[in-house]
Amino acid sequence: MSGLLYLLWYLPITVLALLIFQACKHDDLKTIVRKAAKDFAVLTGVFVVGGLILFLIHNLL
Amino acid sequence: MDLEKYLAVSVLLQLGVAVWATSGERQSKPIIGNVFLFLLTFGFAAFIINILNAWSGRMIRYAVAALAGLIIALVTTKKPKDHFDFMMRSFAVGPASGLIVLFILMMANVSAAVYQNAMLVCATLNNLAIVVFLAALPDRAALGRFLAAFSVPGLGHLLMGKPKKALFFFASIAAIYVTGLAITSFRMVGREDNPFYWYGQFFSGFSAVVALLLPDGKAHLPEGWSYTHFDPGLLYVCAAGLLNYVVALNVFQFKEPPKEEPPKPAEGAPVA
Repeated sequence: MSGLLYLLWYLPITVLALLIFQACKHDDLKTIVRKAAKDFAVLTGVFVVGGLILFLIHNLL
Repeated sequence: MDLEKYLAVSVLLQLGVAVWATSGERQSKPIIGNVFLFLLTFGFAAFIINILNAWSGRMIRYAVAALAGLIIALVTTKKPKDHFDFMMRSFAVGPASGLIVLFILMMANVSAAVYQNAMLVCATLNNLAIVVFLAALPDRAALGRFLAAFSVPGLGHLLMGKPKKALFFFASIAAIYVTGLAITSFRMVGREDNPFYWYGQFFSGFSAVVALLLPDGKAHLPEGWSYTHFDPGLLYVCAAGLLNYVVALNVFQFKEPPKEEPPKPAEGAPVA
């Protein structure tokens, strides 16, 4: 397996963890899924942007 | 006796009891509760320092400096306003006190056996404090649900009358845990692999028992897997325990449905 494939492990555990957190706070399924999806998008966005910044800093400096 | 596993499970149960004891509105005897909190945080700090192997000369200087600042801050502030305020201070005073005792033990150059015995005494005192504390409090239903949830993922919510949530919690946490075990070839995550991931798997009674029953041997990847997959495997095992602890603490937010009052007779109705 390629050295970068381990990053795929991020997806299932993050989705499940966020669903569990929302399920602890809410009872409505739609609310749980909606809020978890929003949190996942924000979290992934932060990681992607942060990774890009680090990549640029590493290669340009 | 495996001291580390005993301490791990003991401290985690105490943390749950502390959250239960200091949340919501319930009658309590402040003196017993505060003594319990002190012993709890003292034992917790000693345990964390032990598993991190953080006892080096440089660490001692930082710890003493932090301790001095903490004591000054606590002494110069006003008296605690309420029980929650005191709880937060106890969570600060406890670890600081634990550092003092461990520092004294180290300066006295005690042997490893004496140090381990001190840790065992600390954890046992904490457990005894739980018994005393439970005797002083009337409401134990929530604690029972927490212990059930700690033992089996989702069981606490099943006892609360939420079967769908219980099934979701059990299925998701079990899937994460089994996936992690598959990556580590169904061997227990050892302290030498990663002390944090090792400790995390004890946040669930279920995973702690499974860890004790797994075959001996170091955790390793299946044949042909890149070494980069090893850390995610350790993480999955740890995360299953941590997520179960979150779910277990969630049972303290459950409120019993109000009891139905008997209908009052209408005004002016003839009295028999």
